[in-house]
Amino acid sequence: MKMLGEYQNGNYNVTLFNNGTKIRDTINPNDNYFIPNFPECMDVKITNYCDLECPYCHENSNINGIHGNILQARFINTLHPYTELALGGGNPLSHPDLIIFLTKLKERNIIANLTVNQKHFLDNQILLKKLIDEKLIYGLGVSLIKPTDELIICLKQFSNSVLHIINGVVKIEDLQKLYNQNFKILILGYKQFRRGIDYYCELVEKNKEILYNQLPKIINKFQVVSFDNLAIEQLDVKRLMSEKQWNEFYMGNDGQYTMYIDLVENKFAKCSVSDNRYELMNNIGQMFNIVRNEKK
Amino acid sequence: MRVVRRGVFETNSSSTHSITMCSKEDYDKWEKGEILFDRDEGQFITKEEAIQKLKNDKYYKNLDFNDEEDINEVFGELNIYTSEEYFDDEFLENFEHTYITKNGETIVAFGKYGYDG
Repeated sequence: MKMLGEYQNGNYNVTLFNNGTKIRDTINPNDNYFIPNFPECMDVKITNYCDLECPYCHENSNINGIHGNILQARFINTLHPYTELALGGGNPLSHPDLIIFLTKLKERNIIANLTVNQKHFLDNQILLKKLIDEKLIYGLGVSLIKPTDELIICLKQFSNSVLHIINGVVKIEDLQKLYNQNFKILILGYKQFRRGIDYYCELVEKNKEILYNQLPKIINKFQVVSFDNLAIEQLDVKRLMSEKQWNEFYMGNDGQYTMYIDLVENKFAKCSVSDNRYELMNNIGQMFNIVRNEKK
Repeated sequence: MRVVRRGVFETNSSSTHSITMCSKEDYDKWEKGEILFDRDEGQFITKEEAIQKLKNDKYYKNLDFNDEEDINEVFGELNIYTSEEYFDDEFLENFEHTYITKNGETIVAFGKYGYDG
């Protein structure tokens, strides 16, 4: 594990490593809180174009979706080095300016991560490998459709890949096919938002219940099991650990260290399902202050 | 105060939190000295796997792989520990938390806490 970078953010230091490990340490060891001055991570939607039209897509992305004007976003120039950007869409690989944008981020020492659908991952492996080799992206999220043999073989070639699965959508038998192969998974909460409202049914609840019951067993079967905040709530992840372990594991609420930027609509918010959305500004510090001071 | 996200980059709209736990079986093997814990990767590995890891690292190409002492020293540098070495820390407190699943499987969460600065 090699260090990618280290920076100070408010009253603490952040160290980021090349496998994604991130450590926050307060400068004063006696502090029992972190107060950031700027976001550590941001989710950035760069396009709403996607040719897959997954029935549970909470972004409503489709073939009529438009690309964001990503090269004109001025706030990028105010990002602090080693901020992580989780770039997504739509299909971010469909954006014609993606590589120029990634190059600009690299020049500023911004850590870009990219999330694509399984189909787009399999169709674009050479490009994705190149982006990783050139350090234009670091983490690669792959949204699971079906654990095919092809996916399993190809995924093993990408050490910083993490499979995204959705609580309520993934079937336990699909997950079992991925057991004990050293994969990393990210379990996302089910979002009853946009197309997620229409997709919601009894089967979703059934899948959620099975995952809830199987979760303690699943944790041993992967190299890394991670969760978003919604999944933590839906799966009651806290039940699996002691208070001390929870305190070291929990990276914070949405808007506490993270935020969301929609470069298609030119809006920002606490996270991608927030109702409160604001007009994009030119300065990241100003935008972050607004989301973190938002009333709950 | 310290918070750690292990082994995964942020690829999502919400904070990502990663967890490392192990089965009681692995934990017992570790305690008996049959396997090692790779702290950086957050996983157990056999000694053979750990040595292979060194062999794949060009930095250790001149290491004498027959010299047990040298190998153990390098394991320490790379945060690869026996349970005795891992818990032998004068600055940090240890914890071990056992959880029994509904299926009857026993899982162990373990680690250290405190301030090592």
